[in-house]
Amino acid sequence: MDELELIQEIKNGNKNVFKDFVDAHKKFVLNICYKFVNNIDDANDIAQDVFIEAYRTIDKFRGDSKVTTWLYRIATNRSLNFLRDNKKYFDSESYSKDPGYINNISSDTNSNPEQNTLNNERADILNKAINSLPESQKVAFILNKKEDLSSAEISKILGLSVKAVESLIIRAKKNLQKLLINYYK
Amino acid sequence: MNCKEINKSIIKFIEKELLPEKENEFESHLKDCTKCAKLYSDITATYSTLDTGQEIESKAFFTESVMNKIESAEEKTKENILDITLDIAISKFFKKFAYTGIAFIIALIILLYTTDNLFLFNNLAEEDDFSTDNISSVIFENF
Repeated sequence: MDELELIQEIKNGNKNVFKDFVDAHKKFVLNICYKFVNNIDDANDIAQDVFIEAYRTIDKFRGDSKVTTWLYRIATNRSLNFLRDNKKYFDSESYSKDPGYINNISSDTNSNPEQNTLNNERADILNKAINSLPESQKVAFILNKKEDLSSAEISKILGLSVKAVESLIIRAKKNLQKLLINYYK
Repeated sequence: MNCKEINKSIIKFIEKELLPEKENEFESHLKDCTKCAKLYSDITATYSTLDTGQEIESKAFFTESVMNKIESAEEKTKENILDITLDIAISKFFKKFAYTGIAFIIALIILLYTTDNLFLFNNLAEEDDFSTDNISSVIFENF
């Protein structure tokens, strides 16, 4: 069954096909959300909402874009809504103390624990800097740098021109540079 | 390149976006300036945490949870639709009842009014002997 046939089956109300669809795409959606919110529990909750919204709005999916582009769009919007709704929480110090938030970077048992802590702190600093970027710059930057998407792919997700996306990424990098310099100076 | 230019070019240098000539200038400045070298080192280490490529796994029963949420949302929608249909039926019934009721009350009033008038008229006729025969006889007597 190809992608469009599968979507048509879901549109016809075949829940078993949708269950398979969730199974096939859950890791993909979950990791998009995680790259925005940096918290495993929150990412799981948001990813579930993404699939519920996908099921609810599947009739609107005409197949003009790829299923993954459509899922990117929903996951990005859902994650941004979450960040907006919890802005105070993210701005507060308590968020970085949440154990789920700490990135398990280099968390393999062979590496130096002190180095791990330092890397976690650095990731925390970077994520806070990214979160303080204007929303459009933040989305373009995360999709480009964390999801490794090209400007053309991002332009399809955000409904912007490629030039506009490139400009957002450049401005995001400039702003991040300023924020990091201010932090370390 | 001076310190100010270095500050503006750190991420471009990390991402290899500088022209080769500028890249050389950047590198030679870092050799001579410990302050910029430290800043570059900190920012590079922080910025490189982007490249971890770390992926997370979904929690247990993720799919089941999604399907349950969809089921319960659909149940709620069905209940809501049922509630709305019931509300409409009730309001339609009351509307109908209200019109019928008003019509019935009006008819009753008219009926009561008419019967009451007739009853009153009969009573008056009995009390004052204003039956049509008597009236005519009174009129003729006066002539």
